[in-house]
Amino acid sequence: MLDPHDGALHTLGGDDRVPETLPWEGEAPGPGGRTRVTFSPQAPADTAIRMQIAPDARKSVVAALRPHFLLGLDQEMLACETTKVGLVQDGAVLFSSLPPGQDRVLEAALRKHPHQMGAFTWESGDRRYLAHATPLYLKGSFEAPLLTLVLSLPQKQAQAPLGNFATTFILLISATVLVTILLSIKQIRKGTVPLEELRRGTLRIAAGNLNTRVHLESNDEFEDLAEAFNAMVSKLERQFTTLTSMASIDREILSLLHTQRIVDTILMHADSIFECDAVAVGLLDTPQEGAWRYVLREIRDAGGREERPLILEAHERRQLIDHASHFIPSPGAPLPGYLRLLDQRGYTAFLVIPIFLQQGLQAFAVIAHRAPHEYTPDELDQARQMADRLGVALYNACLIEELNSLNWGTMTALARVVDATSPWTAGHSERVAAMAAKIARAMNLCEHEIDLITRAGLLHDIGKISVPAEILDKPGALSPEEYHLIQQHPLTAVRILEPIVAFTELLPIIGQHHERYDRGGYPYGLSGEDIVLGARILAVADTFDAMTSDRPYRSGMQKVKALALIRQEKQRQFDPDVVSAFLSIVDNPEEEFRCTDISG
Amino acid sequence: MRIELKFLSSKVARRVFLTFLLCALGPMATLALITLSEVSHQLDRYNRERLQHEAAVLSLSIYDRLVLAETELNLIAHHLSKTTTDKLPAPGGTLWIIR
Repeated sequence: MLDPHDGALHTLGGDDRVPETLPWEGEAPGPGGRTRVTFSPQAPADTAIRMQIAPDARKSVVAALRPHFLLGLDQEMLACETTKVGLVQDGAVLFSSLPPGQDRVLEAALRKHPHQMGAFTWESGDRRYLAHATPLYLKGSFEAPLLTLVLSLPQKQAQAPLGNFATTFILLISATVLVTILLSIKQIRKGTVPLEELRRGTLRIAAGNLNTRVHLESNDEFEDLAEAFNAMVSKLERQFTTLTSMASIDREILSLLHTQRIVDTILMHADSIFECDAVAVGLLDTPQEGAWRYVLREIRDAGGREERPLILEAHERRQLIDHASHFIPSPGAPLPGYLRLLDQRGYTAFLVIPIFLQQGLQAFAVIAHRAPHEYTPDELDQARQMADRLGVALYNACLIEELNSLNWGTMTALARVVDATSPWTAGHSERVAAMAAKIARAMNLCEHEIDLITRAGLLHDIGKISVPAEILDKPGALSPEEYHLIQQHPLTAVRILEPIVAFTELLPIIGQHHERYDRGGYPYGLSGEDIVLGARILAVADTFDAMTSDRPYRSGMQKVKALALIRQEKQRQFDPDVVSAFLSIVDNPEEEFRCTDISG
Repeated sequence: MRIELKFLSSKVARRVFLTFLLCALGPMATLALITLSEVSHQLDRYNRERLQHEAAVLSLSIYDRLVLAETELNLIAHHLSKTTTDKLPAPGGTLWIIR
């Protein structure tokens, strides 16, 4: 402390630095001795804040207050360290906690808006401040001028929490995106892998591979889709198999003209369509007698093919007619006779399809299963289709058989016309035909050749139509002219039959049946193998029948003698092989030697 | 963990994958922008209000400190008048600095 009695300036405490000038030195205190506070801007950091009191008229006490004390900066009055305080008088900054040099910027901002109070912003370089100005009224208490208190907060600091928030948010978004990508990859794979499998399966089917199947275990709709896909492919495969089988059946049965072979073909192929255990076909054999034939094939067992006659009762026939489309016996209902046989063998499910031709019910097909079986609409359709095809084939076979019968009848009639020209030759052609057929069969010729020889036998003497009956029945010897006329009958027969295309194959046999094996015959004078086999057979049969039959010019020869003559002419008039075959027939006691059954 | 990306060769997979990403990113980004804007606005308002409040508090504090300083000064003056009254200099001729 300095000495207070020297009349000079004395410091009583606090800062020991004595200011050079004092604003109130020599001035009286405020009116009525009121305390007066003045603010004297000096250096920015050294604004003088003076408080003067006058205890009496002679004395006054003056104190210098430090801005830091006044603004409470020493005691951290402000919540935020970055908040800057400014004390402004008349637009000039008296004191501030702003960084050096920024006081002037604040002053410039305040000058721009001299009467601005409340919130505002100001900038210093690249820094931006949020600020709030509040008036400080001290005149009433301290005779002080109007001051303005300005608080400034750097916007960067003010927005700092936002930066943290944004960082957190970006991290959150990144994490979400990452999780989304992982989950989406997992989920998309769960969708696209089955989809790809289905696509490949479809491509394999498009390439014609109907055995393909798609195996998925996704436990979702894709698995259902794969199962539906496999079911569809199975059905498609079955349809194709059925179509192929149907086409195969069509090709075979429509080209067949024999009822039995048609039925056998159906029996062989039906299981590839129906996957059944047994197939049976009932055929009306003789409509006049109502006799049926029942052909059965047990597929799964080694039973094979079985054929037996069948009597169809009237009510069974009526049942088939009433169920024209198909007939499925009800469980427990009495079964018709043709199904009882199957029932006794352990079959439990039956599908019966009647087959109608022009004449009415002509056949029926039976499909049987050992295990209980529900027939689907597809199976019913396929069974109906198969039965219709069988009907068409049977109808064709029936037509062919009728045509064949007509053909045989016509030829037999022609033969009888020829034979009727003379009472001595009655039945000759039919006997020769039957005998020739037996010889041909004994020589193991095929059915077609036997058929040709039989037909040729019926028509071999048709050329005798042109020979007058007087010559044929002449009791005495023939004149050379008459004999020449007789010799022409094979050629005449050829000329008569030539226009009929179906008989083209018969012509050589008929034309050569009087040739001799050793070249002495007529009309061509052929020999040996140059003579067709049919003609060689016909020659033996014709000669034997002629020798054993009565003629106007002689009596019928004894068979033994005739046979001896035949043996004698072996290798001369007749082919030795044919003679051997003929003799083998004759030697067989079971053979009806003069059989006239020429139908086969 | 190795991520199998071969499935992205499928057009459907790419389409679904992009949809997934857009569905995740779109709302999230929109929400982020709106939230940031709102938070920024709120923070600004909060800072202004805080400045206003602090300015009011500081004004009162300044007044209080002046009153305190006046009281202390009066006490000092009273104490001086009792001990060295006659030796006090003429008004305005003497200065005591108390702080």
